[in-house]
Amino acid sequence: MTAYRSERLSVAALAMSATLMSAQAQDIRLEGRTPAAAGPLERVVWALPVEPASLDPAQANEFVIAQVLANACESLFVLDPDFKIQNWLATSVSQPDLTTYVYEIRKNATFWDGTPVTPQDVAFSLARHMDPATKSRWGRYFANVEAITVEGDHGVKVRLKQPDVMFHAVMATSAGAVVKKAHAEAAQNAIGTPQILPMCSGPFKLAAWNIGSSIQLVRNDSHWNAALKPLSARFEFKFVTDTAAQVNGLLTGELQGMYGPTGNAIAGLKKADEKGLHYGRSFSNYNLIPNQRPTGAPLVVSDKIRQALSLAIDRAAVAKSVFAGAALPTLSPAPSASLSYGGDVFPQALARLGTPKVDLEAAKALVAQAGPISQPIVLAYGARSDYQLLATLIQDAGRKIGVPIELKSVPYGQYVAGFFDAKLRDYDMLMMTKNVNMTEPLDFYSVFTPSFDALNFGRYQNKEVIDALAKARAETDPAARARLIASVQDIIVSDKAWIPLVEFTNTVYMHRGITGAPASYVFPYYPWATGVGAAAK
Amino acid sequence: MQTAEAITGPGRLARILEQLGVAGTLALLLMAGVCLVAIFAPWIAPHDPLEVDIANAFGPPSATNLLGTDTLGRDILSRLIWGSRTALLGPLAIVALSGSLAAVIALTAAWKRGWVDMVISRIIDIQFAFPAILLALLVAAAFSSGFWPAVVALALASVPHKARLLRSEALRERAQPYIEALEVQGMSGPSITVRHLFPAVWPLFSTQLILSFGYATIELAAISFIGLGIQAPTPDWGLMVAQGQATLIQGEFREALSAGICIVAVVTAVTIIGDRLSHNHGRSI
Amino acid sequence: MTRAIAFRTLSVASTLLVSSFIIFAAMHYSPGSSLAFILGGGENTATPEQIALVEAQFGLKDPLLLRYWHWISGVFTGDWGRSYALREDVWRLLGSRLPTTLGLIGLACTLSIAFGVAVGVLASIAGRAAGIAITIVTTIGFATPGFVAAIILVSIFAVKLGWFPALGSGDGFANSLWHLVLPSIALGLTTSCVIARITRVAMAAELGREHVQTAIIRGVPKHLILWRHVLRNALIPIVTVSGISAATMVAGTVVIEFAFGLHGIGTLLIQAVQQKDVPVVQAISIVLVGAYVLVNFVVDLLYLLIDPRVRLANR
Repeated sequence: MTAYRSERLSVAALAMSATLMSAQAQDIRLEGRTPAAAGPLERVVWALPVEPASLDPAQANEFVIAQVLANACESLFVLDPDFKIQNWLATSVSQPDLTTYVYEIRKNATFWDGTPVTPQDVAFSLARHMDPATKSRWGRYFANVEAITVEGDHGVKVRLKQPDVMFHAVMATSAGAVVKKAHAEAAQNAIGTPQILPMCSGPFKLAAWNIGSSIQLVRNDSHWNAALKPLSARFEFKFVTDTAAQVNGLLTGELQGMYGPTGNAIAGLKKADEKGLHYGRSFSNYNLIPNQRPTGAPLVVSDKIRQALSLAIDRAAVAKSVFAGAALPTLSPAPSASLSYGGDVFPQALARLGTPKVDLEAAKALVAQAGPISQPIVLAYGARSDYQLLATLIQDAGRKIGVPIELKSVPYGQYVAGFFDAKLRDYDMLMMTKNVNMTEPLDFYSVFTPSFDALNFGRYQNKEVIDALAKARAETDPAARARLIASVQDIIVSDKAWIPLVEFTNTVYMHRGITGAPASYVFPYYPWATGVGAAAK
Repeated sequence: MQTAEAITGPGRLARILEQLGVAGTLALLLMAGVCLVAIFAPWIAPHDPLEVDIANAFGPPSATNLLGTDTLGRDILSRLIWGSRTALLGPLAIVALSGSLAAVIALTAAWKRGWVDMVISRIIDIQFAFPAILLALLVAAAFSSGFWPAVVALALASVPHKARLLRSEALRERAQPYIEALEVQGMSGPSITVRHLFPAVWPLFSTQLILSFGYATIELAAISFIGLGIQAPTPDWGLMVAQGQATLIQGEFREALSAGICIVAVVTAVTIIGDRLSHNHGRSI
Repeated sequence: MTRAIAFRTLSVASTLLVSSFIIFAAMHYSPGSSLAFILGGGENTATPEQIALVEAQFGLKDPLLLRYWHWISGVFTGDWGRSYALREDVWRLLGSRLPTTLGLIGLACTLSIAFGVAVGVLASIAGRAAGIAITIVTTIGFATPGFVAAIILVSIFAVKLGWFPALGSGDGFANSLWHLVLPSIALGLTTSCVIARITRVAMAAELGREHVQTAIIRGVPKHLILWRHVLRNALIPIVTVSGISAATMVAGTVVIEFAFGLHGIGTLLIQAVQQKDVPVVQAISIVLVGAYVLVNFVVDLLYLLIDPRVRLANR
């Protein structure tokens, strides 16, 4: 049996929001769903902060592509606005042994062209990620897959080389999205371009992608789930890159809603129309990452300095000035929404972290113990306005306790290239947001294991951590897994392997008269646009 | 054409002031003022330009913060005062670097003539086909951003423009009979170039350098504005315009406008000075 | 004449070829790899097999000359490649961005020439006080960088008065044009001030000439003198300066597009350079260098057409 269906998170959530919030950040209220829409709309225009590079589900491990595809290309499971996993194109899952998952495929689902969704399509869609030529960004989640086969009339069997709970968890993302086999093969697997949009089964059809301006969705009237019939006949995503243009458009109603405005945009929106903003829990934590440099150059940021910085950084000020108050100071490296199972294991682990507070005296004492600092610590960040403000605040914290920090802004392109080339990120400290794709903290902590080592920016290596995470990845009992992960969290926190800063809440803005988009960070996974409609008068 | 003696002769200051006129003298005074501010920034600035005070973000103008504060509660006036340093040093470095490179290249071409001149001219032409600021932007984007990369990129990018003008001027001078006479007397090429050719073209060249200081100011600020030049949190005018632009949507104009006004004032002053000085050459540059 | 044009064409072609190689080499040796953006441009979740495949497919590990050869031979067969990051045919991509940039430059040229000539003529016939005022305004305007002008224009006309959209490209012809008004003013400000000053100087020179003075004494109506004798002859320097300015606008558009959040080829170029998106960088550079050279060429031609003396001298 799958572990996910029985999991509850309300207890954990309550405990967490108490530890996360500090006095300054309490002026925001976290919601799961926004008020339900009262009526239909002919057309909704939604802002997308950049034009997607592709609409192939294999590329959708980031929120821009995924927020479009979540409404069009359905997966085996979905994550609903309460962060619960629901059966979707899979009607059930069974686990005959630890290394086998058998998914029962929905019988009444059809693609937009009217043909039924078959197990062959499902097996093909999953196996695509394993073909290097697909360049799937989910490839690493399939590393433990031995074989994917059709089982009976309506089943798909996945055999793993070793037990792996992350494989099953990722089925509730676009890694588990089903495209039509014949269609993809006819296009030589090159789907998701403006010319060849994927053929899926979701409640909205991908109608057109106008390069440089918009993506059009239209309602799929023959969708299997009548309860989820979209309230709007047409849903348009417009690409609006500039923050000021986003804010202007949203305030005038030219754009009717948007997910994930930047701190600056939130500040602008707040000033003009605070009621339109909704905040929800998210999968997005900002961390300061000291470079551990296990090989070669000496460790510049010593243990004591890391502890001191963590005590000196005013996280509430960060939340206020960088994120316009839409962030929660946190001491947890992993986003709290991912810590969603295992009874009271995670709430207790979070309680051990205490509440974030600034203690300059204690920090100065630690710096004094650390001894003289010969040269400034170089903090590198991608040249983006939020990182820049954040870096300035960290530098200021360093100044207050006598730790000189030099800022190094890396052009954003090079910063991204640094994910692939360690030479480009050989600085003393780095800043990163690690997005998690599921209610599974392993997806976060796996950066410290060899299987996701490209994301281990600080090159922190600890055998104990690696072993515990390997065990957790194979552990199907949620409580036992939670205990293993909590033990890892304790080590990471006490080592200050990463220094948690804030959790950027999920922010959605909707213009007057529009409502229904969930406030929690499920928009990359759940067909959220179906519920967007006219607000009650 | 002025001779070498004219640029060192007595009464030079008076003559320059006469050339400058009222507007030019005012501009010169303004530049002198900005230089003083830049030199004495640590003593003049009322606050530390890097001091963050979140509680006082976007503070209005007051007795303690004459121009108010920015998004992180830093004193805008103090940042403007410190920003005058990069605003002067950057363009100065660009002009010095590109000027000396251009002089070497152009004088070599003019002296050697023949195939050397042809090769150099061709290279200049090719680089000339690429707009200077674009070249500098590309270099900064591809390699590295920061004060020095931007300065070097802009300096290199503006060499052809300077070299082209100087070369044609030097060629004209080279054809003068007195140069030939010196050659006949057995004076070596380099020493004729340094002692006679260069001083002869210097008045025109120096005016061009002054004008190019204005362009360099604009271009360096533009690169910083785009985020590929001087990096935060260094107080810099171009960067302040960029940061201020981001907060326009919150209705905060002061940072961007005040930094913009500083840039315009310096460039206006430099342009007026250069313009006035160039009038006596009878040629526009 | 034909020989001159042939020589000119050859020199333009060689310029384009050499600059394309230099840019290619710079992209090749600059830090970072195109890999990151071919594989999605976010966190690195690529498997070693994917990386090996992409490196082979795109020849990322090939030596410079081989890579350049692949590119240039593609160009000669009409295949400019696809954008690495946006997975789109390069020309289709440029096609979606060019209208904005061309519209911006076109509108800026039109506005700045119209405004510049009008102010220049006004200054040359207006009284002393008005002349001084115009001089002061044009001097300051000349010294105002486009991005500073952008801030001022946005603060006043978009945020305070709400007459124009603050930022972004807009859609549809009329709406796009409307979005381009403030950016064009910012882009054309320096040029219009230069044109105003040149016009004024040229007008003054022409006004002082003998045949004009004679016409004035003979009582020919003032607007006729201005049009027939003065402005027409003053056109030569004005056209030259306008042309040179149009060329500098090609470069200036990058900063203005950035300041106004426009999706033109300037912003695309900066983004492509940072993403090491070689095919896009190459294509845009060629377009920009080509445009720059072309504008200079057209100025030369216009010069021939307007000034009979030059035409005679070239026979």
